[in-house]
Amino acid sequence: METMSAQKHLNHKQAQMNILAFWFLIGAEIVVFGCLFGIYLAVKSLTGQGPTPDELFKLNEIMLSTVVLLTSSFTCAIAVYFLNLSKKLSTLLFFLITILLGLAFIGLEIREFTLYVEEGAKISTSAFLGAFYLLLGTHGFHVLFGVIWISLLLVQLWLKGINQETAPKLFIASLYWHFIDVIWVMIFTIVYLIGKV
Amino acid sequence: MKRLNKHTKKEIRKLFLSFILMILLTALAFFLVLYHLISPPFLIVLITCFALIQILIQLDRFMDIREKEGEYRLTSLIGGSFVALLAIVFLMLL
Repeated sequence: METMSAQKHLNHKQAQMNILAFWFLIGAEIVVFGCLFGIYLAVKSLTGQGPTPDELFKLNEIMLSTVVLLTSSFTCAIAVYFLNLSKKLSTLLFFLITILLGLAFIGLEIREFTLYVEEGAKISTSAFLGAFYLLLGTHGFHVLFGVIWISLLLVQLWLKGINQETAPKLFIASLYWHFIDVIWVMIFTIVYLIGKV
Repeated sequence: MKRLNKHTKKEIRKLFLSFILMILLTALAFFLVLYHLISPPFLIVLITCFALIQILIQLDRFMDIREKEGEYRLTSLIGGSFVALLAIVFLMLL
């Protein structure tokens, strides 16, 4: 019976409205990232004195970041599954793993950027690098925002348990997290893999 | 966690399979690019298809795009993608 009550939180009229509103935000975010991808694709051959994508990227490390982020998306889906079952501790645990993986991803990205800058590939070096850092930085900031957001929701979950207030919020945060992952799949393919072809 | 029933295990297995499929597609694209196994134009098309399949898995399995009243979600998704595509095409034509 508990399962039913937890599902009901998400099926509640207000929760459905909130989830739909969040989908509209995702629609707008797709446009933001679409523009950044457009800029990147338009200027990626303008490397000036700086390195080309092929010279710059180290695919092995990017592969590690990708696996970390994909795994976090999976643990997030598991967390939502337990949310639907009204299992507070399991939900908490899996969201916690999700944000830890998110932090690991941010750490890897900072290390990557530091290496690039040490090699002389700064944001002002060439148009390609400017667009690259803009696109990747925007995505990285989204991950950071997601980590902070979910952390705050977890405090609320810990204090209040799974109820009509917390369940839809956590579900919406999970949508955001999967969306970030979708954007990363695009970045991994369009920026890194095609940059290496 | 100890006493998960049969249904729960099955659902988690489904999520896990989607996850493994995504990892496999990523790894396959990665190795194809790393070892230059296929000629460039076809390779780009192929890895873009892999990315699209991964996105569909995310949307369908993790983001419940097919839920009831899902058509509004799809509208928002397709609307956003359409504008994004226009932006990409025109920026590249500049």
